Amino acid sequence: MKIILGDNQFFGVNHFDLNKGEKTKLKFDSLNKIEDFINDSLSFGLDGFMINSNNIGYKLISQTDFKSNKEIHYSIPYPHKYANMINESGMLSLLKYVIKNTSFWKNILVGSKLLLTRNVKYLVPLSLDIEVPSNLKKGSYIYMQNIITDLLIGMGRGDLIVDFINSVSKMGYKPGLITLNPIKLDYILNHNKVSKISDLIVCFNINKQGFNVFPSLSVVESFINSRPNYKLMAMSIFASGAADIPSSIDYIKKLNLDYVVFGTSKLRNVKSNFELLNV
Amino acid sequence: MNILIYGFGRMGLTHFTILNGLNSEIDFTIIEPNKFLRSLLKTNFDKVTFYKDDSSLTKAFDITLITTPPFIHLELLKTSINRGDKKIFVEKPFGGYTNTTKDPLFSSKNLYIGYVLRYNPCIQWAKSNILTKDILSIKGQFLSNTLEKKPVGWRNGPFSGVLNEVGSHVIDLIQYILGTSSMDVQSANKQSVISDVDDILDAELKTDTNVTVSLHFNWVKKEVRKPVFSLEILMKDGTKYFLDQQQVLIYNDIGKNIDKISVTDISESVPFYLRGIDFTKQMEDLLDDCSVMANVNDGLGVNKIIKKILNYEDNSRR
Repeated sequence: MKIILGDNQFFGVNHFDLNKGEKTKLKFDSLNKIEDFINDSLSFGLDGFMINSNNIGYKLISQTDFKSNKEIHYSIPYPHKYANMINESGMLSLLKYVIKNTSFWKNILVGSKLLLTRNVKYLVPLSLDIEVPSNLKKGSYIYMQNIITDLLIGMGRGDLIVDFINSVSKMGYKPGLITLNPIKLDYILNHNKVSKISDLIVCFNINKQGFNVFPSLSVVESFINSRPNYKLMAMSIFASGAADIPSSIDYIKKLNLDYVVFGTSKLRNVKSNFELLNV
Repeated sequence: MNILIYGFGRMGLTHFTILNGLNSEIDFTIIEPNKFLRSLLKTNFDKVTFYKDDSSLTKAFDITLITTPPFIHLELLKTSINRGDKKIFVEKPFGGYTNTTKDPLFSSKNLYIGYVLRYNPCIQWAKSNILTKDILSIKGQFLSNTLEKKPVGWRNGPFSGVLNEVGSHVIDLIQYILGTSSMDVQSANKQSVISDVDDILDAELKTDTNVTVSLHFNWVKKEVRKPVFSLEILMKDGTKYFLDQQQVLIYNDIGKNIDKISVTDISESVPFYLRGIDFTKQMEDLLDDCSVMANVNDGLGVNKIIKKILNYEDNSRR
């Protein structure tokens, strides 16, 4: 099982203690501090790190040359940016933003098709053009964030999820999907033609407490045991910080997973979690 | 089951997605007046029927969701009731804060208002475990970084502002826990920081049962990444409950933390998750018996409080 450093700590995300999250954010108030934390974590033996395409993550990937061969797991988009945009200027502002911020040639090639056909499938390559820094190392993973994956699942537009997978592969990257509805996503993946599905990682919540594991812990455990033909990554393994760490890790190690991602703001916790996962 | 949704903005999209995620057999009809958006939607949702307006819709719907800006809620509600729609869900704040009088039209038993925070597991814990008659005071807070630049259209007018758009949620929680919306304003202060209406609001109120209610709302707080709400409930015996999305902390009369109930202990599961368990629970309740959902009296109660606060604030400036 590969072990990936998560990114919530860099952005003040702590689902269990909101004040603690805000304090942690202050600890990572510069790109250098985040870069150092990632490099120090990777030096313990972790296999890679995950980072979101928000302002900080985008800059980090654009401006930093990560020399090691460790894996980069890059997630898009930063949902709050788009949510705020909709709050301030309505739904169509999102479309205007995408067109305005896409490169000239991409707009000629794809943006024109979007405006002519009004088919949102053309938003997929445009979004990738905006959200993915050009110097993201080829072979890295690009994930669709859960708010978008789950929105598309609910809307019945699983075909757009498949378009995302295929577009990412065409760009020379590997696809990833973050979801809180892994069973519904699995149904979509089983009923659509997905190229290079063995490259795909599906990342979902799983923890001993069953906290935010949907539709239920037992169903997700059975899903893991069914071993789909893509890779499985566990997230939220400590139930957002509410759980006892050794027993949580013990539980995770018994599952047939390919990846695990966890975040913490303390290097000593990165090290101890890594060691526990490797015992 | 056939469901009609008026308006396909952020909330219309959210409710549609969750309902469709819960039951893919639902037939959806959506009214979206914006021509470009409607054309975009028609291309991309082949199973949904879209209309510019409701003039050709005569058959009653099983459920109608009104998720438009609040100033047209009442007009659409009248049409929906006259059409015989069986269950009607109106997004908060119901008709905007100026809608405070109980119209005979609102006598429909199956009219509900979308105050989603009621479905938070910590709030449900408080509703079941805190004795209303023993409450001395409640402080309600909502912080977010919703506005980064001046909004356009109605969102920069009197039907918007932090009090209407997010404060109304906290006011509903307080009346839900207290069981009364009868309260008078003792003080109020609002600040416009980014929009032309209220971006920060503070108010003190007193209920008819002499409970002190303090409110603090700020939706331009840059340090906050995700919206957060909290309630601080002081009991007559000195016990204090602090609630937010994640936990309930209980303190004794000398301020010592004596218990903690985490959302991980009380959270439930849902068959489809989009943006918080609360939103899915709300739509499950709508499809079921609406046992937790705010009713028309609750909706009007919140509006009355908002109106009193805004009037008090305006009068104190004169």
